[in-house]
Amino acid sequence: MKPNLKAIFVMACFTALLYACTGERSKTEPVELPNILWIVSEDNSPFFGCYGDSLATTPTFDKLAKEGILYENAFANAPVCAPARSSIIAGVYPPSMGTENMRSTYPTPDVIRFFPQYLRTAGYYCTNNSKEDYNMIKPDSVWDESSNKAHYKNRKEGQPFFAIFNLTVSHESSIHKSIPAEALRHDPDKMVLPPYHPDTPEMRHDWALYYDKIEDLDGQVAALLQELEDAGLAENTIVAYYGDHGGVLARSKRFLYESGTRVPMIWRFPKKYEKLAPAAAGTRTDRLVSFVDLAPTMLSLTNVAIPEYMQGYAFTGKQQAAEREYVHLFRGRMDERIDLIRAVRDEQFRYIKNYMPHRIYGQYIEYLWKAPSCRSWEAAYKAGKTNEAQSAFWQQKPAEELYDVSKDPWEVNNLADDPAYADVLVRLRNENDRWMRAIKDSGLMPEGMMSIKNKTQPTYDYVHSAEYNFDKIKHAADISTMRDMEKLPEIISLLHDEDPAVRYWGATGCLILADKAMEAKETLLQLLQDESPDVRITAAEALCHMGAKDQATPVLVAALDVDNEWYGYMPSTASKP
Amino acid sequence: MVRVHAINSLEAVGGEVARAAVGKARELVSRQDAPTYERGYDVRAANHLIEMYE
Repeated sequence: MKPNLKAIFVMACFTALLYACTGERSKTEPVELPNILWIVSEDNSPFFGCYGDSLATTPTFDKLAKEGILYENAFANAPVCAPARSSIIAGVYPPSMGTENMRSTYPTPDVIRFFPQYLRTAGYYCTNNSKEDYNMIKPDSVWDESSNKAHYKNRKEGQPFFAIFNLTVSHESSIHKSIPAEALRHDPDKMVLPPYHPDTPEMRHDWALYYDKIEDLDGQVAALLQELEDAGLAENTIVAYYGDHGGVLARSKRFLYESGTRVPMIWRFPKKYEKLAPAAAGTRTDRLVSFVDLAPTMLSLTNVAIPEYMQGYAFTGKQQAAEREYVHLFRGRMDERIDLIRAVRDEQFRYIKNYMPHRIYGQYIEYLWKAPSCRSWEAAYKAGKTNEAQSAFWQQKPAEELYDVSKDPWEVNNLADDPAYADVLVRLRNENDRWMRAIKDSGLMPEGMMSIKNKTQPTYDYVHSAEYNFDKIKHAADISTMRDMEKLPEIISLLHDEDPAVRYWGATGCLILADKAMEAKETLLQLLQDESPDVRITAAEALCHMGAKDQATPVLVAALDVDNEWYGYMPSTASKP
Repeated sequence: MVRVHAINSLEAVGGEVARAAVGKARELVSRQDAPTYERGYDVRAANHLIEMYE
């Protein structure tokens, strides 16, 4: 039986208050602060020898694991860069801040500071080399240096450092351009494909190419560790390595499965700081940790009080919390395709709630489609050459998914409708509901609607105010997305609600039921004049399934003229996901 | 992201409904540098709609 997390959280808050809770160093005892070298790779799942991958060629990671602590159950809360990094830098779940959608620049609430700001206050020299991508407006004074030249060597003599090196060699873009087969170092014929991938030459090529990139990554990490050694700093420096989310062939990055969210994470503590370590060198731990825990963990290691607003838990250091029972995961808009998914993972199972089950997983995304393997998968499906597991990606989603990842690591056997797992399903569904309520999940508002709220205040402030009808909106979303015809009368009643988010979910419920929701047609026609563009659009799409294309089409086309200067937008220079 | 939402819906419906939006999508792409318009994702979505339905 694990300790009560709520009680632990309250104790942690109390402790934080005792520390005066403003990011000041704890004054309980003087300590020499450890340096921290933080190494981040991009878009890679644990394709390392030390994680049991026999195809991998990763001697550096394998050695690092022997010298450090390997986390078997480390998770990115989001399966894509910007929202994942938003959770890391703030220690707050992005759906709580309105930063869950891939690339947006919404305001940061006053209460939230980026965690390096606390470290700088504590005396650290903080550098970032170089990707930021926090998905919200960066406050001033986060870094001493943030550029591709940023380095701990520029600190003052005797000053502790926190230094990030973000390695891009394994980024998704690395498989966009095929190379000749003879130039590959890993043999495509020896690749072991996940059961959801069809066996195409392009798929084998991209898998082999990606293992080459992991090998390159291993070499770059070796260079950073050697540089630390040569500088005589290895004995004073904690090394923290993780991948920024899973990847990278289709159905990994951007998708809320193990392949998109489970990441490699290895930390090495020098003998001098072994008391700060959660376990002895060479340990493999199955403790559940996620990115929202990284900020409080950094504060825990550096003797800074963890502020109350942070939603993660320190998993090492002096403020280490009890082990989690669950990690919480989310997916919002991915580039130019809107989706809304939440997931809960415990030590054995993954529960997924699809709030847009009518949208297929395989919605076209320009950047994803640059990979030849992705295009070959789509072509195989269209040619009728994919089996059931390989076809599911291109079909409408179930309302809920449940996987036993201990037996089904690639998550192709959905147990949500299996009576034998009904108790597990309900337990994890309830945990998802509890979490969404606790963080005041803003994702239940369409992004356009949320952006309008941002005119006057940050989303975090709005959803934590009495103005946000979370319970009402959540109920509307739940009943509308289960494909349950018995709920149709209640779904139709939502269309008359005064809250546009509730009307949006009512229209979505009708859209999901399509022509079975004909009873709603007259009300949906009225919603074509709704004040909310998102409600108008959803009603119009639903009506296209009810023989009303003539009325609906002009509304959809006119929406392309809606001007949204307040909406977050992606800078044109930052096109790399 | 109202425009992205609309284009997602248009493509999901497809057929003549999506084709009816091609002209407006072309306008959207042509004004992508206007300072009040988000650049990037709405344009990507519009380009795909044009490619599929013109």
